[in-house]
Amino acid sequence: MKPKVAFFSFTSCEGCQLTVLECEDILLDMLGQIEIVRFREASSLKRDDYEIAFIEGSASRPDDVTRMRKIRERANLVVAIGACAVSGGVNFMKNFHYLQRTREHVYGAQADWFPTTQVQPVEAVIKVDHSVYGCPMTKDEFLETVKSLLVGRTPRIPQYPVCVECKMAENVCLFHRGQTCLGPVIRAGCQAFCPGLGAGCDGCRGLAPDHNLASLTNVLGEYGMKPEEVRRKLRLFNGYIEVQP
Amino acid sequence: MTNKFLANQEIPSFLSALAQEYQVIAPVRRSEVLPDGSSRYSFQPLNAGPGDATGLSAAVLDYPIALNDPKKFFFPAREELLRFQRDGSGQFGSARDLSETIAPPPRALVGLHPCDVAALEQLDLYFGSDRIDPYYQARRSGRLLLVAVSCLSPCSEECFCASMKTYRVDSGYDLLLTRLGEGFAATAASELGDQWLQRLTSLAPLDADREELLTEVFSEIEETFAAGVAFDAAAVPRNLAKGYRDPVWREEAERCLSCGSCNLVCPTCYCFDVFDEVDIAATEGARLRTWDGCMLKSFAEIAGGENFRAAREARLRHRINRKGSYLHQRYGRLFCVGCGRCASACLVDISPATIFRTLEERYGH
Ligand code: SF4
Ligand code: SF4
Ligand code: SF4
Ligand code: SF4
Ligand code: SF4
Repeated sequence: MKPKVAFFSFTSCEGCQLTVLECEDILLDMLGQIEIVRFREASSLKRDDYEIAFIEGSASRPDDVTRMRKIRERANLVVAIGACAVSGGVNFMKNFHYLQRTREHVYGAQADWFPTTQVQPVEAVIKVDHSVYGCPMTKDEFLETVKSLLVGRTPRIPQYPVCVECKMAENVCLFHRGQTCLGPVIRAGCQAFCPGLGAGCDGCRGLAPDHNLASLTNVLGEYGMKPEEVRRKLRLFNGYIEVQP
Repeated sequence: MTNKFLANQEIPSFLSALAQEYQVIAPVRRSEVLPDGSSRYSFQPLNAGPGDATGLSAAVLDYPIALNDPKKFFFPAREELLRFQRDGSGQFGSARDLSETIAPPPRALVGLHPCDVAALEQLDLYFGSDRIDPYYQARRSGRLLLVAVSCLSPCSEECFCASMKTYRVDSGYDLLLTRLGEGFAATAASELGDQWLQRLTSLAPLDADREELLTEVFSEIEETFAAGVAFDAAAVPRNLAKGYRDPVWREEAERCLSCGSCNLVCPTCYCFDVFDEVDIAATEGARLRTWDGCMLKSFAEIAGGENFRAAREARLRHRINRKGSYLHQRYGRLFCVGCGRCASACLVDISPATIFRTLEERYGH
């Protein structure tokens, strides 16, 4: 029996679902192993008999919470995919502004038609079994997760920071170029994508579990960045850490 | 042994001659000029393989130090060890060891600094004495020419090869190039190096004046580096043993980012992680290994979540003891060549040299 799988989308750009479709070369092989019963980006099927639910996006509307709870009731396993789902991602910035003003800014005169709430990552609403990090999530890590779930083992997701992959790629460190980077505190897995292109890491994969943010804040201070600026920089993807239990 | 003079204008033809028989690997520029006025360099293959002479002009022989040492050509950051597949009964029965399939082209590693040579000798010890690593050996025992370049002065503020006595090495390579004005003195240190110098008939022999100059350069090297000795390397193992519970570990580790950069750039770090990857249908897969590092928290974590070195200070103490004490007990030599790569990569200025010196101050009498 192939496990039945559903994809759900909440507040997000749907880029992570696109990443699933980008697995073109092995998508067919994947369909040999799982049965997709719901996937808005790619199918008109809308069944509710799924065992594994992949959730993209964060809760930001009143009925999102109810929808997420329903998914949790039906699924054996819930996997949060992408930064929005894992930690609220970019959406979480909304929580640092007045809700009503944000709403008016986005919807103008029709603001009242669109009820909106504070942003919550999936784990703030329901229990999450596995997370696939990144904005967007990487294809490799998504596949690693699917494969691991199929054979019943824990997905191999890096716990160490971006610097590890950056050094393996022999990149010149951004700090030595007089720039800054969040790589030392951010979870690896993107093969140091941004430093490899000459740009500092912005932290889309979230804090590495063993980060030393206090120390990096001092280092960034030496490079002219005040603690308040570090916090704002982190808010791009990681505002959730300011309120996380 | 033959000694010759490699004038600057002869360097291209020297490299071309090597390129006839080898894939030439040499330092190339890896960065623009950085704010501190330096640049970064990296060892890279230049030509496609023996017989191809393109790409050679990118080689830089006067350079401070390369980001990574040439370890990566013998022990890559990521490699497949085995391939396996399900047999008729559905079991993962047969595995194919890939060490037998490793066949690098003949390679000439040009531009190694003395510390790189010393580091390679240490890796040879680890991967080839009390245990034999077939993957390392398959690459290391291939046809290889090692061309070292003398360092005339310390390459960075962080390097401490002066203290570790690795700024000059007499063996472990085939040819040594030492800057002498408008060229290099090329001296052979092995049979193979000697053969090459004899074959390079367009190079003039090193005349008496230059021989004398070379002797002078070597004694200047000795003087320059002697002035930079910061601690007594011979006392490092003893001081580390005495300082096992010293506050230095906590003091230094407090600002450690656990980023692992120090491990990953270290020419004498050889630790790796091993894991399996399977295809989506779980019918076949590979066993891989990737570089790992003892400064990373996940390094010493075992099944069940137990961790031998969960605290940063325990990890820093382990790393430094491993360089200056544990492997000394096993191989009778220090496993750090003082290249300073770790300290240069470290954003919070943690250096073995500082720790060795601090412990010497506290326990060295
Ligand atoms: S560029 Fe960023 S990720 Fe890369 S080594 Fe430097 S700090 Fe770490
Ligand atoms: S380098 Fe940082 S911002 Fe860029 S992809 Fe990786 S985790 Fe995301
Ligand atoms: S510990 Fe540091 S100085 Fe010593 S060999 Fe490694 S990188 Fe070089
Ligand atoms: S550490 Fe010493 S031997 Fe190594 S490159 Fe620098 S100066 Fe040369
Ligand atoms: S490079 Fe520095 S900050 Fe990073 S793990 Fe090593 S000692 Fe710690």
